[in-house]
Amino acid sequence: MYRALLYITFALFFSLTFSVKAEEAYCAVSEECREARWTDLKQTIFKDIDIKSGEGIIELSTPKRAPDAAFVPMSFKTHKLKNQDDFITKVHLVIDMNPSPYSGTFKFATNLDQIELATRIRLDAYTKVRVIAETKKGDYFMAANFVKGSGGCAAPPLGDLDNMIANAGKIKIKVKNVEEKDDIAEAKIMISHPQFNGLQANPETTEMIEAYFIYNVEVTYNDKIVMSLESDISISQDPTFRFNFPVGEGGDLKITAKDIDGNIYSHSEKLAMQDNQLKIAFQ
Amino acid sequence: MKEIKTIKFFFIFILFFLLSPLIIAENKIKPLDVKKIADGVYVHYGKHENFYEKEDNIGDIANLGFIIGDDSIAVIDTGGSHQVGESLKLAIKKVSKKPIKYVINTHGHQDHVFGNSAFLSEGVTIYGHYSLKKFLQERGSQYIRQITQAGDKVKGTSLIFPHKVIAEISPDQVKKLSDEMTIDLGNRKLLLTSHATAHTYSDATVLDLKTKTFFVGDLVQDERTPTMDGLVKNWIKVLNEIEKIDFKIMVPGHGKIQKDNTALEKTKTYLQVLYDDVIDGLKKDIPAEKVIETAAQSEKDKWVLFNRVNPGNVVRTFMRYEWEY
Ligand SMILES: [Zn+2]
Repeated sequence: MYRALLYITFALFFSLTFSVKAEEAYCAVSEECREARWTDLKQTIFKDIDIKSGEGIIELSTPKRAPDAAFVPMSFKTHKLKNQDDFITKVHLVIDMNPSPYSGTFKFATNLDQIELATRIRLDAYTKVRVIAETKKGDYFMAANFVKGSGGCAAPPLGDLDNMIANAGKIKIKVKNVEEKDDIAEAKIMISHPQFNGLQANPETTEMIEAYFIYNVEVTYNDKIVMSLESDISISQDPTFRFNFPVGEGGDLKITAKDIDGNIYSHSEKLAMQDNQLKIAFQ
Repeated sequence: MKEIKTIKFFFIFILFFLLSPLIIAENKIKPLDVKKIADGVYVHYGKHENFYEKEDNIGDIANLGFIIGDDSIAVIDTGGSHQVGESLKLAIKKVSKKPIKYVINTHGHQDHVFGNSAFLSEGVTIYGHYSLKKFLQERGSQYIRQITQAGDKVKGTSLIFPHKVIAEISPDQVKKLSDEMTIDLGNRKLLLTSHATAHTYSDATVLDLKTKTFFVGDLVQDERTPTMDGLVKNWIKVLNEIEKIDFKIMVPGHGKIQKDNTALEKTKTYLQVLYDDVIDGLKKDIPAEKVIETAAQSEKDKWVLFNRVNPGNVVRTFMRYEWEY
């Protein structure tokens, strides 16, 4: 009788203490687990492509700990490249532990020797965030950071639901010259959109809010693409993108965004130089 | 054969005794430390730690309280897990045998409501802000995830919604009390008030009319950095309103009890600096990641856990006002 009890207690103790933790919890503390996760993801997304270290090519900047897992500022910047063939044309974003890890592909103007982009992402669990730069001639370079932050995918929308839906697709553009670079300007694009990812609850009904997010953004300048993004559910509510583009003497900057409900939102501004400063021209 | 069995049995027996303190620690719940702060009013002080982060943190981070009337007891906030709620219940029972009839949640944050489940067996009526249910429903999936991730140490913790809602009244109306806004514990009335969006959109306060003890939840914080999860400008407005209320002792959601509005002013100052610095960053078109590093830094030395809490406040405030600049 006693013995049976002891066995039970013992078994219980072990099952409590050493119960197999979910991969998620384990990857939060184990570099080995993260590596295994990446090996799987790399195979699924990039197959046999050789991905080299991005040192000296691309830098990723993220906080070590997410200030708010629903809005994690991230940016990447490439070093100045000399050879046209080495110019970076695409940057892939992978967030290992998010429900849909392959989070997007950014494309840029093909004649830029240096690329910079900043946006905000959601993090579901402590994770590696990776940017993989693809060059014109087909080389791949990766930079990765580990970021502590969780619950950003299920986080409630910030603000009033009805308002957010009513304002979906509103777009705002800001531009300014980049210091010490005559021909390069910085654009900041803001798109109002709730970016529901299918993992958030509706407070009135407690049912999950159906996914409703922007999957494609295209920015053209004088009809040439200067930045585009194919994305998934990892981009935060009210997507914001800050990036550089070659500006010349002025012209039309146009944004087109598409969401999965089939809505197409677009907005354009005429840019002109005024007193050596790039401005949005008011007609 | 027989011998081996005995050894094995003995081995397990020894192991059991070695491990038993751990097993017992899992199951045995100790009463929380509580302090009498006024006649019939008790407070438990939460620790200034990160929620569930350390191995032994079971969500005991907020200030909890209870008030004893002639007939019954009201609990104000229940802690950050079923376990903390149970410990609070034990502490209450050590002080009084009267029935626990009410639970009042000052808002919907985990560290204040996750202990609600421990009081259901007492047959309590739970009171909360008129938007508390909505607040909890909206965060449901995120909260349940958090509980699951914390694992066994908070086993049994679940989301319990309020049974009754608290009305919103202005300080001027406080004087003309109506029975709907008070609950009677027997020769002792508590005035419950819901507030406009401030710290969260589910903030309520409790004023014990007998001793003028004022439970303000996280609308006022002392020591621990305030978390901005509502609207910073509104929050300042709500503080301007509640500072008119005549009280003897104020119990903030975190930190020490107050005899005057010192902590309220300190909270207000932090919020104003946070707002001003974020707006300044937006006006100058400084990116969010840079604003995080600089906003409200002048307040840093006044608060505990500042580097953990302030960045989130900055990001959320930045996001709120980004479109206006
Ligand atoms: Zn709170």
